[in-house]
Amino acid sequence: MIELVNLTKSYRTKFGRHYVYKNVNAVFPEGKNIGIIGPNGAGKSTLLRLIGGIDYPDSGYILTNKKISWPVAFSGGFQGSLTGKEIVKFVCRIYGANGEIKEIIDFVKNFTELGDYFEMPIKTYSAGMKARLAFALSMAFDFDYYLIDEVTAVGDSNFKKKCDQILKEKLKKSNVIIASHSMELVKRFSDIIAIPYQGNLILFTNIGEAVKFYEEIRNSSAIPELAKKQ
Amino acid sequence: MLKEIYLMKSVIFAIFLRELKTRFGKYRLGYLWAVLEPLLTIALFVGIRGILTGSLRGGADKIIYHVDYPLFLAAGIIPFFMFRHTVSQVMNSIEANRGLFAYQPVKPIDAMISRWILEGVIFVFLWVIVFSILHFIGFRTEIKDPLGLIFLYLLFYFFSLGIGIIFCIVVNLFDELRNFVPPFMLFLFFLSGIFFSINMIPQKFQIYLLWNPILHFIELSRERFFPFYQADVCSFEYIIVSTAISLFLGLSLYRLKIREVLASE
Repeated sequence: MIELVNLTKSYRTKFGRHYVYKNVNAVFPEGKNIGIIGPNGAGKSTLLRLIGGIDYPDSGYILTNKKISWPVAFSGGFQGSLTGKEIVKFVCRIYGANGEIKEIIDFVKNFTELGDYFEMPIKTYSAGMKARLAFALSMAFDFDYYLIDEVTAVGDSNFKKKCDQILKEKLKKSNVIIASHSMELVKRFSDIIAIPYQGNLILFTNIGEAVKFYEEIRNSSAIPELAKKQ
Repeated sequence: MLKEIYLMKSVIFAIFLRELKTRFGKYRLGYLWAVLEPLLTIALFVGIRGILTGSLRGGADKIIYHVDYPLFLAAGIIPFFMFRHTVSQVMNSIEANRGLFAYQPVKPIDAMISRWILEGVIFVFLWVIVFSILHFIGFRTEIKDPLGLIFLYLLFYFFSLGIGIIFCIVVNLFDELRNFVPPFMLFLFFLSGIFFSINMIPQKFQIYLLWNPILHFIELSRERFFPFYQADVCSFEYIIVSTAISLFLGLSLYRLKIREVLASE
């Protein structure tokens, strides 16, 4: 379970503070997949970052006893001069997985199909190779919740199939929190849909209602100031 | 609790290895420069003094108590460089490692401590190398009180960590202040008794210079280093209190402000 308690998060803008969330209270129940949907700048990624403990709210807090991943396919911690293998080792060490270091390395090496590149500095990688490494690395660890921000197209269709497969595998034991502006994607993975709207977070357990509500707010274009942020 | 400490230890170790690889891995000259920088600085000041006095040895010079000038300088410059590098490395540890904070076990304090440890290791190596070279050239001395010297260096090392954390939080809250740090360090370089002894300073100016705790560290470490050196005006109590305040302030600021520093605005 993940509980948001009196969560407030704002950003500084030229026109004063813009509140993405204002005193939001919400509960993501045990064992459910969550889809966060909204237009750009609505606060999807912000919520993901808050849940992942990367960003902090102005006030309020997030309560959970679950193991939550870093954003899946995140590559911000990849230093160019390190090799893919060194990065995998590094993440193993910080998650205290020293015992499984060998299995994890093997898994990532096989999954990414990087071959010799696996032991070459990251700066020699193409964008696609980097993304493959990042994705495989997140999948190599077991979490209760995986945070997925806008599944980006990674590699060719063959690799995409592999990604889908392993994600489905993971979903048997774990849950995902997906942020996206594609209703198709969110519908496919989620039991609960969360829509950030005017400082609130509205939860739908009925997907049909969520689709209807989302259509309405998208067409009303009543939220022009939201688009300016980020 | 024990598990947390164990995890923190492995996080610090992981970042330490990473720092080691990225810091020196970039260019081969990395290690060389770490040694050359203080050596060149020593050579420069010895040269200047040589030109001014016509002698490279300060042997006859009573003011520095029979200490050869290069040794006198090295005993000031090496600890000061440790201080300066520690402060700037710890200060920049958040910016340099921001990408790592997406991994939940990694906290900014881990990055700070890793960098601090690395600076300590560099300091020990540098100290040994520089004094070996000086010994080899013919500037020799025995160490009067090795344990006392090590204890003083340790205090200074902790003092530097505290200042580094304070600077880190402050420049992350007020970005403009970042530009003032290098000139401030230069200012300290000239006022910390590195190439002069406090005894050379007229008494009426001493009282102003003695506000600077770094001067106390350096002069007192020389006192424990060289058999005939004296720094009576410096106070051991003052550096103990300074170290305590520096760490207390650094850790308190960290505790109170780190969320504000990490939060997006």
